[in-house]
Amino acid sequence: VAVAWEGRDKVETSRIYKEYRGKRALNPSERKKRLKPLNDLFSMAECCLIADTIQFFKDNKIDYCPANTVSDVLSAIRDTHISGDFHRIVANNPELYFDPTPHLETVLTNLKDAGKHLIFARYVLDINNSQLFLFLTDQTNLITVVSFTVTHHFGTSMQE
Amino acid sequence: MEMNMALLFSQLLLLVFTSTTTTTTTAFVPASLSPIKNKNNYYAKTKITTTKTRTILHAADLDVDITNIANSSDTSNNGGVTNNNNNNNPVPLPTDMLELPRHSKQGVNGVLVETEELLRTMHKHSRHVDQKDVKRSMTPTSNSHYDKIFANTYVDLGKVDTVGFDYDYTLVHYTEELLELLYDMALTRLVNDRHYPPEMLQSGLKYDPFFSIRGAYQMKMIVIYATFSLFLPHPHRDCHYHHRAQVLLLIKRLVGLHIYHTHTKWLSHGRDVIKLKHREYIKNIEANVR
Repeated sequence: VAVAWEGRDKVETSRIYKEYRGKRALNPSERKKRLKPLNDLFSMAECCLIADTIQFFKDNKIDYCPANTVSDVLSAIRDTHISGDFHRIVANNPELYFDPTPHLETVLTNLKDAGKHLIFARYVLDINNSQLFLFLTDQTNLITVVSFTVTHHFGTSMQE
Repeated sequence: MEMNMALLFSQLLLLVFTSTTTTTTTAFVPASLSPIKNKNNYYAKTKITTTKTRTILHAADLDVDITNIANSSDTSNNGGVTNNNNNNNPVPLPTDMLELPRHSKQGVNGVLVETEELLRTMHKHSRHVDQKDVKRSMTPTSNSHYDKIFANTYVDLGKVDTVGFDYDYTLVHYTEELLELLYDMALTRLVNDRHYPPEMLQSGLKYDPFFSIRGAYQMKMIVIYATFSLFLPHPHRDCHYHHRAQVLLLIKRLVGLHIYHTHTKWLSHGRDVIKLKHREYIKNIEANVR
């Protein structure tokens, strides 16, 4: 453990030593037990929310259990994803939440002209993602090809 | 065909038997016979080692015949003669093992044919070389091609039928607002569902993009490594271990930053793409070095 933060305050090195019994290196099993990697796309928001919540408790002198707070925040983020509201809002406001992809149209058109089938490699079952993709194809005038493949995939996955 | 298989099999067997080398056996010898005096007259354990002469096998020892190829001009005459003279040697390989698969583009096929020819001549020449006399250096030669890019174009996209895409960060890139939205929604959920203090909503908590950096450490390493490998001639751009050590030495000398070897092991596995921001970072480093 190189650096640690409690809320928005940096934890002193002496305390890190105390927490991790005099050495900051962890063996793999211990690391798995005590640390959670925040390396996901959405982990920056998770990380910030955890820090802000704990900082709020500290500022207002509210007693808290760090482990429970972290698990609460993580499950709140998970619930946000699962509920589908988040995906729906993003899909309805693509101009706000999407960065333009400049050469996408050329690439997709070339592939389509060469007679390729285009499919999603992941998230095929996610309805929201197919909505996003329809938006995308609307922009790139490739609706027919892609909407076909999406429905086709839905068909097969439903059968399974 | 069966005859050929039998020949090949017998040759393999021969190889297995000649490669038997050192045997170590452990035996129990009575204490009185052993040179080690044992107080209690127990059986002492003694190691007996027998060493035989070692025969080293080389790849070139596995002699195969490539006369099978229909249009091979160079081996058709000579190879036939040697095949008749040597009874114990070559076993003709099946034709499909000796030809490279063809590409859908004619231009690429030309390259493939050339490569085939090259491989055949290499095979022919390698028979005349005694492996023990050849000294090979592991360092790249100084006259290698500096400004050539080698791409793996062997994948024949013309034969590919279906192209699959991942969604996040391949087809679509998101803006910072996405994380803001996620933050706000999760905070509301925390208050409503998990009964956290409602004051949290009013206290103006907001997503701060500068609080954390995703994969910063790894990114820094990759950028530095990539930058410095740009200055090096082509063989050094590879991620081979001995080349890497040279790169690391350079970095240490120029920047005074020590990167441990353990870091470089996963350095080459870095999955993150160097984005625009980091390209600027590279430019800065380049400017500093020059």
